[in-house]
Amino acid sequence: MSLKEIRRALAAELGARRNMNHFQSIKSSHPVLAEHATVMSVLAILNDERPQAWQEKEAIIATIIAENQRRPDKFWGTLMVVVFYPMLSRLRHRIIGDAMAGDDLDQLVLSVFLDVFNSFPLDTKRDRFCMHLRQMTERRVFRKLRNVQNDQEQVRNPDPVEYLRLENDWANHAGMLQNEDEFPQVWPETRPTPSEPLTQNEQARLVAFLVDKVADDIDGDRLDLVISTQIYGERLSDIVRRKFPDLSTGDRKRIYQRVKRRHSRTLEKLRELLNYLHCPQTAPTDALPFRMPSAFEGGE
Amino acid sequence: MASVNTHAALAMAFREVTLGLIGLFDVYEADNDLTDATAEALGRVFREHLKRNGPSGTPPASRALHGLAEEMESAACKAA
Repeated sequence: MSLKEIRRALAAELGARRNMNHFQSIKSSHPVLAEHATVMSVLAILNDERPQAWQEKEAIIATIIAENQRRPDKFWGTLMVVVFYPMLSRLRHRIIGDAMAGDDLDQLVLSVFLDVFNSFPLDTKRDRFCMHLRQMTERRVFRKLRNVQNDQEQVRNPDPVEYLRLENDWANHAGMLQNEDEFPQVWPETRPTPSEPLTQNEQARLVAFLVDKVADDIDGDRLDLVISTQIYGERLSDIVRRKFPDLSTGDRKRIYQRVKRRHSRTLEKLRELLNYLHCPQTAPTDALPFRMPSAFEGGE
Repeated sequence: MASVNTHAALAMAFREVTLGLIGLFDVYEADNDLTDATAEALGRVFREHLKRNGPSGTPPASRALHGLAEEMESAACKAA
């Protein structure tokens, strides 16, 4: 439901007979409201933008805020949303970005305004209520949006190395599962301790191993890419920057995405090719169980 | 003296009716033409009752009812 639709629904609610009767029962205890026959008349004063009406508006708003804090009543919230709709609509349409969907933004603006109204500090702010309500609502809405954007940034831009590590963990665990429903139970809750960096000798041995086992099946560029990240610990973004130093940031991002996809596919193929060397953890006491690659299975 | 009080009370009653209509028109997003026509008709009745001449200044069309409410309020103050 959009802000405009909410305003329409609330306005109709305000004009309902039960709310008219409700207003009649409340107004007698407040001199500022008592002179108005119906809530429509109060609404007219609150919507009056002429300077002459300013004093009466202030008195009515102060009374409404105080009454709502003394005896919380959604009737006052409804009235205030209808009165402040133009301000809320302007605020809503000032927000540009993809942090939240349109309807969520409407709800955010509305809920923040009602929060501000319900907790308005009458003891410290004793005049210019419209201005304070507007400013406090704006500040809280923009603060919340900043928080949402920060959260999204962290999800959108994970460290590529960390992402790959998680992907590998997932693949390792998924291989051990009988069905996918078990997955959440085995996902590691704490970060594994980082392994020691490889020595030059170990790196050379691993490179030789990979070249020996998969060089015939994987394109040289792709194999270099995997060796750079998995053995030498180089980040994909650094590789792209090194290979394409003159590109603009936009172009580099596009190439980075392409290289990342290629890297993921190569890793996947690498796992398939080296699968026959996999040592199942269910039989830790066995010697290295050698399983023939499928290409050799079923032979003599 | 009773006539003066009656005039003040009438002006205040007219004002209350006008404010109620403003609120009602706002809630139901009434058309501007309807608002203007109402302001004109109500103003005519009000001035006829109090034997007043036309409004001192022409209010802007979008605020015709607010202008009328102000005129009624000042009439009530003068009568009182």
